[in-house]
Amino acid sequence: MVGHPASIEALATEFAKMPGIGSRTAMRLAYYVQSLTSEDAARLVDAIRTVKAKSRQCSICCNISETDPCPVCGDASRDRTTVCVVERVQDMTAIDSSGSYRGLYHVLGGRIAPLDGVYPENLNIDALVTRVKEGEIREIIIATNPDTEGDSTANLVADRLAPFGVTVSVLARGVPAGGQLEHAAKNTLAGAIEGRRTVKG
Amino acid sequence: MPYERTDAITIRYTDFSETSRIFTFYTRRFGRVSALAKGVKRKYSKMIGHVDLLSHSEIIFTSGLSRDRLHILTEANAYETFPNIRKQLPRFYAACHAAELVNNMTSLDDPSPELFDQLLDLLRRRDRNVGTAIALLAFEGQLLLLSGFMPQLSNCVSCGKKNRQKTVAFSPRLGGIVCSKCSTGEAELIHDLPADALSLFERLAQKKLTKLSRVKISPSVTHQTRAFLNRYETYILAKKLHTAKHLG
Repeated sequence: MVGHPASIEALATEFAKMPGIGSRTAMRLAYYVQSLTSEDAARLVDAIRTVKAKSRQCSICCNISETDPCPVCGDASRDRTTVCVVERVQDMTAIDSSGSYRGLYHVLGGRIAPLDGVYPENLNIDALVTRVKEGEIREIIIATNPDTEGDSTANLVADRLAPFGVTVSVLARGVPAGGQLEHAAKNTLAGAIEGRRTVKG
Repeated sequence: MPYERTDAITIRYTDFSETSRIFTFYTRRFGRVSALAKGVKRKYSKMIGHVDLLSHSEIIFTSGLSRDRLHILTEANAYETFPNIRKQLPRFYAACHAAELVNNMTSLDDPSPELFDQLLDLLRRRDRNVGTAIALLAFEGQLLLLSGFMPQLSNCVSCGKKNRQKTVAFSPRLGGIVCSKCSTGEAELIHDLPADALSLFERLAQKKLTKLSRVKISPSVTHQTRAFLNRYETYILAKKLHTAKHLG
């Protein structure tokens, strides 16, 4: 039986450890790397080395950045009294790209997911509590995903921050712009009704 | 391709691609089934919010023809989403533990409407905060009974002698309590289990206690029963469950 070369197998094994990559995709990527020119392959290796060497976790907000504090925490023009709590760095990027928020962030590093073995002690909640204790923060906006695990995480964060007298809010939820009411889930519609707002005549 | 319609409880999901997820449901008509929900993570998906973890929905799927029996989810309509379970971590942990147990202790396409109703009843109790400490133990007992793993807790599993001691030793390997004579040489015994806690657990499993909210159980008995169950479940599943870590 004809097998793959050992070096290709070894590379595919490493790719297969990545999220969402199965063994066939891993093998396809390994052969793609083999087909690269020496210069392209060197650039890929350099990019991986640079990410590992330069990127680190911001000691304030737990964002991933090449500086500590990260550019967001170091930006003096931002509102330092408001912190938006997100699950992942990607969520922070999404909220910031909306252009409607100019405060600071705190990245939890995930959400409580007991079925995956993720518990509060695995998240950056203590770091958030420490920030709030320092006293400058007046409002916390919890922007976890609006599902079972995200809501459980949001409730825990709100409970942990309750003793410190900061205003804690969650993102509004309801029918997405362009969506259709008939397909909305009951809890989505309930959220939309609860969060309704007055329309000026 | 035939379409199937059934009541379902979402017990697990994993991301499949940028926009799709594979859901595992425990259904009334088909038992545990897995189904690919294409595009469910898209902003305008018709299924968004209908198949959240631990929610009770009506689902429609096309029967998968592949060997791994992965169906295609075509429609979902949430009946109950149990929002209060999300408000307190102990409720959430208990509901997740029940879901993980069902996912690991049932086979694909092996229906048990009784187990479906027990799981739904547990979620409703956790949502209303009724009989909380004992409801999970009762569910686990009924799951062990229905899946054929209920241990022998009144008589020695080896010689059949009725237990008259206050504390007993339990053998996960033999699946029951063992008397002092039969326990000699038996490895992996769980020692000093209170007999009254095991007796209560047995009655819960056999549904001899109908009004769960009226059953009083001390925190120490709950703790001891919990520890015994965690070790027994780890033994029969040959793995540690993620959700066993923070159960009270």
